[in-house]
Amino acid sequence: MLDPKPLESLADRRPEKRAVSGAALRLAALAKDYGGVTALAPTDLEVRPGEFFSLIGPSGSGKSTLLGMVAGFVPPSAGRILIDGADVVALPPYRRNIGMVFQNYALFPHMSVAENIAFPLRMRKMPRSRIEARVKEMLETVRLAGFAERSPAQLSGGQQQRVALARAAAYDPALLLMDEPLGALDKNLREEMQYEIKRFHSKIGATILYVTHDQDEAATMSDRIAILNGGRIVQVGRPRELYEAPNSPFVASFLGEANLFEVAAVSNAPPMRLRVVTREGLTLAAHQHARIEAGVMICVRPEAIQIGSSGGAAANSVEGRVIDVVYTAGMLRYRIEVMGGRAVIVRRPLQRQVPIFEVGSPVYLSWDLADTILVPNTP
Amino acid sequence: MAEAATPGPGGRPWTLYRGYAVLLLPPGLFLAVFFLWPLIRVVLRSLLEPHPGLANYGRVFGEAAFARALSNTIETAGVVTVLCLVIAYPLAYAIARADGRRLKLFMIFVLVPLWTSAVIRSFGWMIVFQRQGVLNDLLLALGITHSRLTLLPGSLAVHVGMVHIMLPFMILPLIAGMRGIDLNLMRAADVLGAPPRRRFLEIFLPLSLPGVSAGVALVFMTSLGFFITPALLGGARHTMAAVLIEEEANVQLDWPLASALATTLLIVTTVLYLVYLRLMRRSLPLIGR
Repeated sequence: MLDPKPLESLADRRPEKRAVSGAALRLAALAKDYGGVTALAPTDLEVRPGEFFSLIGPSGSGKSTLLGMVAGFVPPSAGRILIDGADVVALPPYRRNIGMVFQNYALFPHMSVAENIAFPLRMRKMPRSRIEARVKEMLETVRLAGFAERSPAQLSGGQQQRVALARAAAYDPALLLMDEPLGALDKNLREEMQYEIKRFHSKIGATILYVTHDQDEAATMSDRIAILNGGRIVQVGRPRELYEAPNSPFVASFLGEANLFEVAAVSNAPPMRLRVVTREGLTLAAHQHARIEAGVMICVRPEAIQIGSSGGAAANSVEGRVIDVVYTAGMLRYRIEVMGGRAVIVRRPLQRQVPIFEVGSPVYLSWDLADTILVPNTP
Repeated sequence: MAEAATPGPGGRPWTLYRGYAVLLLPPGLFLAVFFLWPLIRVVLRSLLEPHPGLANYGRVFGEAAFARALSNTIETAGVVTVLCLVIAYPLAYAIARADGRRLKLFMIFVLVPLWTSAVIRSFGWMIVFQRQGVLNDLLLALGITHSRLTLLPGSLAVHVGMVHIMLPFMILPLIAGMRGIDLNLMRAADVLGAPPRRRFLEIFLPLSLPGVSAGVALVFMTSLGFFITPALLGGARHTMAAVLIEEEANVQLDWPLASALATTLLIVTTVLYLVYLRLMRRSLPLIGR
């Protein structure tokens, strides 16, 4: 685990004036079960004001249940939900003053774009002239100024999502929930919208609780991420923290790709190193302070591994043979068979001077001492 | 219907729907022979017999009894439609929100009355409404009335009998329409700050209007042609068009006049339906299509 000093959030560095100050969200022993089936085990979580916080995990991990409870659609079985210190569990959704963006937009089909954005403002009994001004302002913020009178059905998916965003933020909620808002968009649009939402977040300043199953999306956008699995939060941290110091094999392989090895034996090796023998019989090296011991797992990230035709002077050097190599957008992804029939994944950026090793060629894999990472063998 | 093939160099492109038009042939032929042709003959008879001209229509619009029956028909259909809607809407709302076994159970309750014929159910209402009937017994026993009321024949009995028969035809399209409303829209309205009443009035109600529109059209159009129930419960003063047509055809044996009445009813129904369609299209500009 990296040092726990408070993260310097992107928000702190932003010079822009922000519309609202985000709410602090705290979950205390929040739990949900459906007739004996646990959807969310008792969970504690703190989301800081103004933070962009993502919940990620495979389907059925409890992330949508958690979001549903914060919104008020799912009654918790136990626990408390505190928004700026006030428990909202007993309040209906319409009295929680939360913004929410749904996966399928949930725009009202019988209302125009402007009417959709005006809806929450009318519910708050804002005077008509102020509603008009606010709708205009929101449409400009999401760059849909000319679309006020369109029907949602006349908009593209990305445009509909921006209307949903404008509608959810029009009344300056201090907490904004997003339930897989980009799930229905194609890849290019999704990436564009990620920046759109980030830009939006920096402008409005609300705390955002964001649910996705896309780890890249979460890593791109979030200040911090909670990874859920089997109805519980398994790790919380900054994206980089989670990637570089996963606390379990699940986290290691859920965020990016991971080459995981089970450790069979460890001994000290000078200078200040550990000599690690894996179950397959590979002999690897790690920092002495890496706290690796027999029975734990170690992880080597695919992009930390160098590939060459001869063993170098690196701390770790492993002989193997190329099983296959594929080209993906600027990267080469190798699968290399090493001792014990084990396949190791290696990613190298494709540059002109980098040689491509053909299938079947013998290669040496090497990586730094620091890239042999401990993964505690917790579930 | 088979289209005239204009084969290009490689023939027409294949589509999934090729050849399906053939399936329209049997019902198309059946309707042409047993519905369209007789209908044309009815219209022709009303214009050509006993002498070519509009004499039959002169009688339809000239004699007070016929005009009264026609307006009574439209009025009755209107009242029945409104009553059906008022009863069916809350019912459909509750049923549409049910799930699984409860939904099946409710649907059976809605559909079971359809298994009994309209004749038998109308006779049932005669027993309820007659002078020595169940309703009069009850009213006397409770002390609400002090003498027996003559409810039969009468418009109350006709309305109740017709509503009883038409109710499922209002409930079913309403349920279909309401179940089509995305639950997420209601959730969105909720989280956006709409209390239950506003949620219903501003989101659910407008989105349920296509179902309302279908139910209203179905019940109103069917009610215009009702025969058994008004014949059994309505009597001479509350005659509806279909009863009158039957009488002219089978009792007076005046087929040309019966034909003119039937044609008039058809035209009135068609015109009302077209007006209704236009109104609906105007009031549901976004979701009507």
